Amino acid sequence: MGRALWGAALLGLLTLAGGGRAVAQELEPPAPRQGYFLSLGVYGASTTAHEKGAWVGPWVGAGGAVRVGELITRRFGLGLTIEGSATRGDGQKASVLALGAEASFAVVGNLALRGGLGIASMGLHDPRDPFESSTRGVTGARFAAGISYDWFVKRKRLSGGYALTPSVQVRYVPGDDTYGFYTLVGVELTYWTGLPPRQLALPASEAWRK
Amino acid sequence: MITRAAPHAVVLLFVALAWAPSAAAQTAPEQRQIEATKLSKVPKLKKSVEAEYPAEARDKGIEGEVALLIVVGAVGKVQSVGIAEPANPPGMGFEEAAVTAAQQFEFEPAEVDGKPIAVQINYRFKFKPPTKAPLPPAPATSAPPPPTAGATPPPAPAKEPVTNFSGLLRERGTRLPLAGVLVTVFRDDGEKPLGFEATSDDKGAFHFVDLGSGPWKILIDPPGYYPFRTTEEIHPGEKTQVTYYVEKGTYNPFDLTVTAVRPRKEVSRTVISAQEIDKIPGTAGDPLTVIQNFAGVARAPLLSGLIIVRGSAPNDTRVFADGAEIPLVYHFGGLRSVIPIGLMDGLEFYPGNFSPSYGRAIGGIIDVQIKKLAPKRVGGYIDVSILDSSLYLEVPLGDKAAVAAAVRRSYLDVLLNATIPSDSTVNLITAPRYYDYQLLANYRPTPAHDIRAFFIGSDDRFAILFKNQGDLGTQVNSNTASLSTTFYRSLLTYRWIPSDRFENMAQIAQGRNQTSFRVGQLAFDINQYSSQMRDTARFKAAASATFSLGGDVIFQKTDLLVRLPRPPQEGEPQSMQLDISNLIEEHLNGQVQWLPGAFAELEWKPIPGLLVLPGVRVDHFSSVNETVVQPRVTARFQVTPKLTFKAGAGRFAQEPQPWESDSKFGNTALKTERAWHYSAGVEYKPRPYLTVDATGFYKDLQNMVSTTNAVIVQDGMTRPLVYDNNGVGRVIGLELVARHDFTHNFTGWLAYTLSRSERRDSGKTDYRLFDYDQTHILAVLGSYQLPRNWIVGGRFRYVSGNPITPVVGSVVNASSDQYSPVFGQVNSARLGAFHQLDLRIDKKWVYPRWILDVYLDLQNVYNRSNPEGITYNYNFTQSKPQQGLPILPILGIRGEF
Repeated sequence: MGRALWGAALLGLLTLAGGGRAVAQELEPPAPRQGYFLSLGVYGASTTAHEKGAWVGPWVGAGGAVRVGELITRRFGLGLTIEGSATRGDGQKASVLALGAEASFAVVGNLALRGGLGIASMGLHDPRDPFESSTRGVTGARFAAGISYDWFVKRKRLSGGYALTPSVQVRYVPGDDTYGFYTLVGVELTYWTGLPPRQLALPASEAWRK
Repeated sequence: MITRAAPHAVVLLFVALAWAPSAAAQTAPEQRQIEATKLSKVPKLKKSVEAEYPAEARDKGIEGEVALLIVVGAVGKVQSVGIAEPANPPGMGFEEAAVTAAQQFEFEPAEVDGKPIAVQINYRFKFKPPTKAPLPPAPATSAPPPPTAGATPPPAPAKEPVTNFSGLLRERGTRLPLAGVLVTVFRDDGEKPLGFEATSDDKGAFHFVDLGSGPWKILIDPPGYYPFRTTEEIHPGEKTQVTYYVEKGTYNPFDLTVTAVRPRKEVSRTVISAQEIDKIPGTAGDPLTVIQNFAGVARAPLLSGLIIVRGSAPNDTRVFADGAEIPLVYHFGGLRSVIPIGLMDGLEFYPGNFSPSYGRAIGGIIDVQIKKLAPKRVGGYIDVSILDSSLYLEVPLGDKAAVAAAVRRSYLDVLLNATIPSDSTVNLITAPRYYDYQLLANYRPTPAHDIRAFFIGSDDRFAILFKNQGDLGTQVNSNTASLSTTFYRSLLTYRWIPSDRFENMAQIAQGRNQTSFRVGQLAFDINQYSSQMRDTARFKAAASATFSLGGDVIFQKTDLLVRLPRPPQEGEPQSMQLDISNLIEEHLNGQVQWLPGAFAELEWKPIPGLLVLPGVRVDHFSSVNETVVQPRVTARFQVTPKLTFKAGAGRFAQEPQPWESDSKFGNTALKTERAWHYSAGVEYKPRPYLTVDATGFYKDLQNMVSTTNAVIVQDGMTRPLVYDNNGVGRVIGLELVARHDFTHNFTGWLAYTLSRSERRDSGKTDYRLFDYDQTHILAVLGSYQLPRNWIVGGRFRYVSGNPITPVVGSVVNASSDQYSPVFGQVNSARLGAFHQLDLRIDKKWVYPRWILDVYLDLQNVYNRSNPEGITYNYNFTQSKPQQGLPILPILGIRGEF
């Protein structure tokens, strides 16, 4: 039941985080983090795995991710992430491919905490071992946590815009015989669409502007 | 002529309403100002009265204008009328005429959070003298001719107002007309702002007359919608026509349809709407998969499609569509239901003690409520998921009729054919594929008559060719295997409600079931025609007594070819290897079966709060030539509006399964299986949206068909009896349900069942556990609606493992050199518990004319390895659990138009 409780607790946290004040059709004052977002990230990656009773790694390498989603309330956002990474060390390699749902919660200004669930495949490979199993590693659930900051270098619009988003993220891929962690530290280029004018609280001088 | 397109300052638009306590409306010493946008419903003029034009002003062609303050009470009556702005010009009688007319207005009251309140509104009368003869339309900006010097100018001819700006208001996404919505046009015209208002009619149409040329700002800001703001350019002599799509604040699926729910009469009944079903996590949007989340329903083995209710066998529960039984619920063992969500209003589930109107079942009843069509526009959806795609379309045919059609096809075959490598040991002749199709028509010539026609068809097919004959089994004489299931049903329903005291519903259903299964010499082919007629009359004899009487008859004609070993009975361990050396063959041509039944029920309210429903059902089963009388009674006593006690008892009967009473496979002397259902419980409703229900139940199963070792002498020959009716069973349990209806952005429920289901087989003295006995069944699920049309939901289930019969040893067959298991005590061990968390995320994108709905259903989030069975090695010395599905993301896309 350990993982059951873990999952249920995460579900509860996600729901609570988004559910505090769900107000429909409330007009929002314009802000840079608004609307949908599309984010491309490059990261330095590290992988650690526990297999056959021993830890391997940490191995280091690089990773990338695509994130899409929407800021649903002024603080809470939901989206999808596709990410991958490749690391090596001790003469071995690790590769990760993951798909997940991700929630974010802005704690202060543009500083946001992230949490997510999904699936991941973490493959481990030792080129020196001719008898290595092709299924070495772990495939299954993926739990994610992280922190990021959206830095709007140049603001031209009332709502939305481009941001540079440094982030630090940790992932856990549980398994019966093998389980692993990987971390992603890097920067993302994020585009926020902003909200359409009808959903913004605008002064009269702006509200009817074409 | 009076026009309600009244000019006044635009600032009035936002705060034209003030909450006015009814008694103090006129003095209003402590009026609390609220914003109009806080109202959940603005007051809507229901009855308008034209003001009488003052004679003197009319004769002189004088126009006038009066602004009023009207206090509209909480029931919509005008409580007071005051003058907000004096008449211009004064002293002509405009004020008196306007006040007299306004006092006769009637409104639909304003509401805050659904509660009617008194409000004060601004209303402006504009008096224009009637024209005596039609005049050619003049441009809005045209000036009157200059007066001639020295002559008394004739009265200026009244200008006929010209509509030069009109449009339609539609809800963004659904295209439904927005009626009673205020449209405001305004602009800064010189020193003070100028504005006009118009209200959309039932079709969402609005119009303005004589707008001056130039740019105008448009504002449409109905409660519950995002404000619609745009600008329009009015050109002299031109008419401007527009269609505006106004976006709702939230497209809540849970309040799209409000279906009248029949008052509760049964001890246990679960009603769930299609909108709720559609968003339940873990079901991938499938309507009937939701059943496994109800109290009293056991978890079925993976991909079995079984429905196990209160410890009864799967065959003991019947599924109906609007009262007509359907033979197949799911495609391919539970992959997908045969009825799409678009054609459903909801479903009703009765786990026991159901009404006498349902029969031929000793388990439970599931009745799918087919949609009562009343579309306001041509609409539908296209649904694409990982398994299949479907199309649903509904079309109104005037005000009294509508039709809907749906079709769905899977593409498992395409996916599988593409993924099977060329060097595989199998070829798919027909990869697994299914499709279904439905047609629904509804005609209501008058409210008293409702005619509905429903047609449903389904086809499942699968065929496989093994490249090497031995791959299919050493005893099988062919290398092909095929399975097909086809059925259709047509259902005609006529409901007649001539008065509030009498109601009659007649139904005729006709259809065909065809199933074919072939593996080498093994065969099962059935072709069955089925017709059903049913009539139910309901008569309210007095305020405290309503009678329901009815009858139904099922006629079936069956052609059958079977060449199979005898199937194992419930409680018999599943053999590890199929023994096809002892095949039984049966041919039936045109075998006829009649199943007539009649029922009567009285709804009796002897004292306030108490409802007693005594009833009886009589069924005749021609296959076993037996008539069974089944008395039933339920009672509900509402002690307080929040607290209700309930209880029920009744007898239920069903015929044996076809193979059990067959002359070759079983025993033709079998009789019906019987059950007595007893249940009692309490319902508590601490909040209007929260219901807590605790129900205890006991089922006494009698005459159960059981395997026997007895023999009989038939036609001078001794043969095994195979089955008899000496089995018995008992099921005891407690169901606890807490349900939160949709409010506060949340809907969900908790269902927990504690039960024990046992059987005592023929000739045995001890009870054993039922094959699907599950001690603890817990389902907790909920959906939370977030802003911007997101819904997140979760479902957690915990279920005790099914009983299993352990293998305690094995023996080797010297001739075949194969091991056979030696079983221990029947169902004396259990599989490990099942638990799983599923999550679902829904997002809607609303475009002007359609809505895109995308969902991600993430099943088994923490990738639990749930045991579904046990596999053994060749000599049964080692075993390991068969694992269920791993973490599984399912993506679905639906375009609603």
